[in-house]
Amino acid sequence: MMYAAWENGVRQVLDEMQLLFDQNQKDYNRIGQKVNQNDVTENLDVTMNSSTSTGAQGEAAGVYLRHTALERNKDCLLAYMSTRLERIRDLRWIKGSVLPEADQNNMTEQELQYFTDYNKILANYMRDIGVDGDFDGLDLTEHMEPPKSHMVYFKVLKEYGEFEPEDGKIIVLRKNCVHHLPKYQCETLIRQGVIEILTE
Amino acid sequence: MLVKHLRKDFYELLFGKRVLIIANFDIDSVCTVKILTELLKIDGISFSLCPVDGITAMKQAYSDYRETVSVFVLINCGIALDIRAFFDNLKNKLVFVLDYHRPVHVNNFYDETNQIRILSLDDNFDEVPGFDDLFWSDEGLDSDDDGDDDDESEIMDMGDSEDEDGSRRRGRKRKRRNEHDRERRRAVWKEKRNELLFEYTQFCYYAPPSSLVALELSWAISRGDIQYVWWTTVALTDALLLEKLPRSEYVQKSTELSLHIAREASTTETPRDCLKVNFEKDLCFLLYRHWNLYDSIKMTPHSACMLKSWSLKGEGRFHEMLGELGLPQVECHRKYASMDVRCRKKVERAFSEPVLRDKYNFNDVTVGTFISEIGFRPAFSAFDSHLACLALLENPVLNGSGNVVDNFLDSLAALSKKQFDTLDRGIGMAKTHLTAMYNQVKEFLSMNVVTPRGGFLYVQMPEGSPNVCYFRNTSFLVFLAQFTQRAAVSHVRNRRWSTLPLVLCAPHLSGYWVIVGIKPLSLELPKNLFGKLFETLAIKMTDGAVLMDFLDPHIVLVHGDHKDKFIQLLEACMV
Repeated sequence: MMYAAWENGVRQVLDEMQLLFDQNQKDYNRIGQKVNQNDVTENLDVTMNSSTSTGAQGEAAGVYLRHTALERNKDCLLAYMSTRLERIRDLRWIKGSVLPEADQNNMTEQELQYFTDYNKILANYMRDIGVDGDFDGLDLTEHMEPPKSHMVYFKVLKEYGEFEPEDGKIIVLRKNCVHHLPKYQCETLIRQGVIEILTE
Repeated sequence: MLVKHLRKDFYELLFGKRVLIIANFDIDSVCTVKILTELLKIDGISFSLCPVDGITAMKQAYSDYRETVSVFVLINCGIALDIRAFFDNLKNKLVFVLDYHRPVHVNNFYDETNQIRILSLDDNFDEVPGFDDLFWSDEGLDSDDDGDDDDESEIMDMGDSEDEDGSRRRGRKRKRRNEHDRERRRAVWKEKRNELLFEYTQFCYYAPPSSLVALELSWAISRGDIQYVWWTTVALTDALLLEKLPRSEYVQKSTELSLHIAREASTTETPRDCLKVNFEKDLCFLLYRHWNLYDSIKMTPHSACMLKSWSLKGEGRFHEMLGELGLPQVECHRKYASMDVRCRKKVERAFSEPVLRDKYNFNDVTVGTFISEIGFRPAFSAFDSHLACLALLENPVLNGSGNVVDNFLDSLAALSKKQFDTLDRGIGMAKTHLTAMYNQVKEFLSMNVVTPRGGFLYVQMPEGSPNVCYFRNTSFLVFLAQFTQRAAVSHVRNRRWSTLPLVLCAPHLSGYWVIVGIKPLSLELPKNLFGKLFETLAIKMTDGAVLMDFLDPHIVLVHGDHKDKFIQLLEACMV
């Protein structure tokens, strides 16, 4: 599920970054002028270790601090964006290729574009699998994890009553009963959490 | 109808159908279900599993799945009931019954529609009365004689096929004479039939465990595995411990299983995580490997009765005996696995010393049993596994409505190769169960509650007893009754008591009391007459006072208000 993009926050961060950068630029230029005036031949790094300029040292420290802050802001913004994109990718696997309204409203335009691009890539990939022969491609999003066998041995957790799988023969699912059925008949049940798979 | 060929006439009929497995609540069912479900899982057959703890639950399961399932497999339930009458509307359905209860209901055995099929390894069901003795039939009366050879064997047709001879008058006279004869013959036949049926159903007993059939099945379809043999040994141990089979038959079946093991065990280098099963002579003290030696000897029914360890004097003798064997008490109280190695080695030899037999009358402490080893885990004997599974199955904490399945699944899990924590939990619970049982027997003897009443010994558990919750289900209840019987006989030293059967009465749920009757101690063959007896008494009591819900007929539920009357009637019957 997607939360609304925190546009205000991002904008504030970007503003702050701009501010920091401007101040840094100003200080950097001023230090540069001072150094030129003193006409020191040494290669002057604007770092804390510089000991030859007077007053420039404090300003150099300030520039360095702002630079670190800038880097940190950049990392945070990138992490935020990348997490949102990861969530969008997960949404494709969990909910399918059409997103519900709520999620769509919470995504920015660029994110929506990213989603459609991702859909396209995934569809191309799935179609390409097993192209030789009349195999139409494999739907990888069908199973949450690779299926180990085509039967499922499970216990019913909630009273479900009659269940009609694809082949039409009705199965009665009472609470706490144990069954062993083909997997394709039980996919919906697994997704809904009505049954618990027994491992043995 | 008896199934002759397990693969062709049973297993291959399951493919492509939906199967419902209805299993009784005992260890043999657990083992059989385990083997059968493993085979079904491998072959991809859809099935549903429904453990039931009584006849009403069985009926409920049938009616739930009646429309949707076409093959029913009943495990350890149903063979003594008339299935056709019990399950309504059996059209197009197949019912396979794999049950070790005997006697077989005659209607199941002689089922003509071939819908009810009995799976068994015995070829001879000699004790079942002949078909002609049970089902009346009229032959075409074309012969004039009413000779004696026509008395008992005549085949029934739908209507009477009268023979018409020439003259009408002669025909009418003959008709009347024939009718009289037929009526007389029929009355005689009916009396004989009732007698035969009564004799046949009088005693109830057990056949060898159903797991043996499941094992044969796995062999017949070439999917044998050492695990299935191990599970069968657990079921066989159940038969020995709860005295369902005489000792000689246990030994015979064990030899058969050894052959299976020899076949299934791999001949080349076995990898470490393979299950290895061996048949060895082992001490008969229950759970001694997972407990301490002292408690194990004290609480195993066999040794407890020889030592009379519930009394102070008996305990003194016990200490003396340990001393004489050279086993320090400190070591005996320690967990067996943490005992001093020299001491442990001594234990294995100690109990075969002659001094035990002469001075303490403590003999016959070894029993042939199956020991399994896997990986680097400590060895498990079949008795240990059996008690662990049984404790999980009859776990009182979870017991209530609807949790029959959870207990059954727990018990199934304890059998599997990889679920060690369930097995360890089961061993812990088994220790609690055994301790509770021992304490209960001690209480019975100290309060002198075991009294001879007419033709049987009667014990009643007091209502507020703290151990009541452990004895709500059939297996531990029967185990308790047998322990009590043995203890009482050795305590009182009255020779007559060993010829008397025992009736134990314990409080059950919702105002009912559970009553179980077991055979006399001196009787070798495990034939129990209480099934029929309880049934005849139940008819005499008011409706609803007696519930014959359990699938073992010698265990019955009686309402608290009618309990005393029931016992009085029983006493009157058994003089």
